[in-house]
Amino acid sequence: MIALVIVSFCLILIFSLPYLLTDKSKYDRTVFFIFYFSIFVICLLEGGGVNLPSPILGLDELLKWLHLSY
Amino acid sequence: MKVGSSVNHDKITASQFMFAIVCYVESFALLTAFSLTVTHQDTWIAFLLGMVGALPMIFINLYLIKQYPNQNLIQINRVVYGKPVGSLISVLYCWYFLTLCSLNLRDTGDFLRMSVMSETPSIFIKIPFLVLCSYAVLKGLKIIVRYSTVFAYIGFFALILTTILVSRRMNYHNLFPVLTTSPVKLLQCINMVMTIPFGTSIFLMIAPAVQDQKKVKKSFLTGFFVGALVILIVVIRDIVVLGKISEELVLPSYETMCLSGVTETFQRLDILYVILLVILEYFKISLLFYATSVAISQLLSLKSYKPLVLVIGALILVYSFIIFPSSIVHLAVTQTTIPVLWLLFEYIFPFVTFLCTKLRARKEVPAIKS
Repeated sequence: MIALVIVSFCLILIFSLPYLLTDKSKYDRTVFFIFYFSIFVICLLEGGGVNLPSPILGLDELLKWLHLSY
Repeated sequence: MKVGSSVNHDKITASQFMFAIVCYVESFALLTAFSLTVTHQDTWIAFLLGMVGALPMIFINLYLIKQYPNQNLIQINRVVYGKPVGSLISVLYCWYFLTLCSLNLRDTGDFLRMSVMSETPSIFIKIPFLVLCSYAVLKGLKIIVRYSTVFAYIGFFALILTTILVSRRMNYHNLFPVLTTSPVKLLQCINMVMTIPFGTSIFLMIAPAVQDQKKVKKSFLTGFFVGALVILIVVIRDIVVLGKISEELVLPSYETMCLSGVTETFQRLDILYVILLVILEYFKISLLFYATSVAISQLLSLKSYKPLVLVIGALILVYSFIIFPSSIVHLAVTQTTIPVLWLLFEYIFPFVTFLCTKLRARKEVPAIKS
């Protein structure tokens, strides 16, 4: 699964290159790489079997605690 | 980045916009189990009342589209609330669209795994599906909505065909007794219906792309009513055909289509359901994917949304695995918490935006007079 994540992200970088090269803005490239590496880490953790928290389940617990659910 | 500028310059026709709404709303007709288990044979009443309940918000959305021409939801938030609060609300909307997209991807993967590809791991179903959606998003809104007319007509054809074919199995007594559901359950279902199938805030992201802005109101309303009518017919059909069993099934529309057949050679039209689900879910996921990409790009003041598409696709994929541990939890949360949470995005925020816009308009009129 980790191998799949690494291969997928290599492919994502290859296919995103044309859009990054046409866009000459340094800011845009910085934003792209911040997203790229953050999501790469998340996918690696999920692929490695780490139980990542779900925001919806957290909100579900919060709303139930506030008695704001059916 | 100026408030008026956009990361995308695609234009679509009013007709494409209308059919986009039809396809989006119609896609929920295939996944009505969440409501049938709550209100049973009164579900059609909940859908009817939900349709009526959704109308004020549609008119509010139309008012915002008219007041802020050529500006999408992110730009409207920035104008109305200012940069700090507007950006915060826009971040919440980005999360909302991302969550909707991941939920739909999960539903599609789970359904295909359950019905036709039981031995295939869901990741190998979701990846090709998402690659196709990414391709459509990279090509632009014009490409995503180009075939919405065809998809809508395929949906109508499938609905008419299967309704005719199951007509001999219909028992109208399954609709009775009427209104035996408790008011709380009925309100719960109305809330679910108003926020899940009839939640149309996503269209604030694509309404500025309509070429002729004067036709937006008519297209929006027509698309909504046609899509809502399709869902209503599907719900009534499933109740009269399946009866009490519809409350126990995960996919009642699928089971109804399984029952439709004429002779021994013309059987098992459930494959039609699978094709229809894949087509409509592809459209819905592409639209939500596009809205998420454009919203994030606009929020971060990027020149174009395209560099982030594939990376956001990866995020949607991993989020679809994280979001719920199982289908049972998904169904339970959809019935109890999600209707309340989605009220914030579909009703509360648009209503507050509407009030702020009205107050600003009133302040500007005395300023002009003086």
